[in-house]
Amino acid sequence: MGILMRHAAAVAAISFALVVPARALETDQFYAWKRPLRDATGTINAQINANIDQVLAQVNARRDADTCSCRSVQKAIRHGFLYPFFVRPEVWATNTSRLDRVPSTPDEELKFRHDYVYGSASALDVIRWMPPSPTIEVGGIRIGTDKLSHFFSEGSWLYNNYRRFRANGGSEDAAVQRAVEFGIATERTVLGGTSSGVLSLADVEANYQGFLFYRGLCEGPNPGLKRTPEGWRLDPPFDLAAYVSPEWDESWQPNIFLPKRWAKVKPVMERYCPLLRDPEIVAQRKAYAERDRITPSEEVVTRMVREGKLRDPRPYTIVSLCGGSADSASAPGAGRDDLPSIVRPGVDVAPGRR
Amino acid sequence: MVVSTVRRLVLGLAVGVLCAAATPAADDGPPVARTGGLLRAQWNYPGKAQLGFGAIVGHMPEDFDCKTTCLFRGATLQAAAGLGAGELSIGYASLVGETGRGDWLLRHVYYGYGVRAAVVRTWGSSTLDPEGATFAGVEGAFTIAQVGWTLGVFRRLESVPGKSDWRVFGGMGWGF
Repeated sequence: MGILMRHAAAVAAISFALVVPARALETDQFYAWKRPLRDATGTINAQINANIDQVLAQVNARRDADTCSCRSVQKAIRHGFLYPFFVRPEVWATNTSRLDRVPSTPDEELKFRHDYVYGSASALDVIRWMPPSPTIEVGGIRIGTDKLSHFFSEGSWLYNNYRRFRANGGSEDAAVQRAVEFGIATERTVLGGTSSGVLSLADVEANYQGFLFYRGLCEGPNPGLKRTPEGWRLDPPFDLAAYVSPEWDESWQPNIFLPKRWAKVKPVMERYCPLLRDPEIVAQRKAYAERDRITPSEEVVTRMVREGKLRDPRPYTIVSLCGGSADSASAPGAGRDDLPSIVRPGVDVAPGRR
Repeated sequence: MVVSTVRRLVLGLAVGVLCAAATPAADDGPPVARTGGLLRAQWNYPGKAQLGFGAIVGHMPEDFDCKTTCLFRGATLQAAAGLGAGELSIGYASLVGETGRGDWLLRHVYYGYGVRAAVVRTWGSSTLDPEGATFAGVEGAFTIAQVGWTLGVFRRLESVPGKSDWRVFGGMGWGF
């Protein structure tokens, strides 16, 4: 029995060691520099809205459709997206021929896995145990498809954390802050920091925006889910571009690396230094700088950096690495404090709709 | 008794597979049946070093090439042979895998779970007594980050007086 228990404990320990890094999918938007991409916003929105409509049709066919709470509809939508470790929209985005991706072909995919910023990792490195995420473009912003998982999966984790804190009497602001801190904690541990050695602030932002999506379904001045005589519907329809900002692009929003990881990533990133003077990249970064704004997740990150709880991400920006001036436009906490141009249900209120 | 239990399990699995229709995508075209090859190399009990091969049938839009991660959900048929035993199984699985350089064989299964009705026949270097026993049972399979586990409960088809007919078999290795 003792031997059996020891074997079981060993298997459990190995299992835990494997499961912990498993969700740490990484991406590389530097690789997508100078590679053309058609904007995927319309296609992704159509797919997500079709998924949501399908779930709502199932909800509306339920016997309790007339009496069920918005929260139960919201849960049904969340379950419709989820699949362990890979949310369905992400798996779809990596396969459908209706989206432009980088890498775009099977041959390029093989080259990408060798050349991307984590390509020099050994086969035993946890970062190689899961596939890297390709880059797509949404609303003029280049993002990894892993952000769809962060948005739809981790966003719901943050929302549940927020709800628990609110249920215990916490204030709205404190609950949002706690939710963001929870998202950072997951990124520091199982979803990045201690597993792959990469704490992605872009993931933190996608998590936060996913939280806003779920919260906006049933809360706020204009909840997205509405009960109508025909049943539940989402109005306005889902628009990913309303949530995506330059903070989602990992070539703009710096990651925080553990020293061992940085030693491997730095030489690869340095290859992109000459491109910082390329007119196309200059134009992209100028456009990003104009759209960059201070987000609540960046405020939390900035505070944690100031308090010494988080390593300063600024040395890991491409501009800092290439010997330029401090890349202030992409540093967390920098940017413009203005409203996004597209309305997010339950978050922003369009003029005349309040 | 055991045969009828196995029959019920197989029927149950078949019903489950038929009920688990794949969700069609918005405009990716109607889902079509697609098979993917499964491979596993495992150290298990009672098979010891064992190689397994099989296939999964899933439904997805026709243009999904699965060179990168695809979601397969459907029936599986697998066979494995090792130093100490061989196994034939039929079941249901849900997995995310990719063919990589190839077209059919899922070289990397990043996540997957399944349940199988299986028949195990011991041979060779098996330490199970008596030699050449046949077991039928149900096993679960789970893979994360390409590392897979199996665990199952089996019953010997030919009873041996004085010995329990029930056994727990399991293993760990690469693949699904």
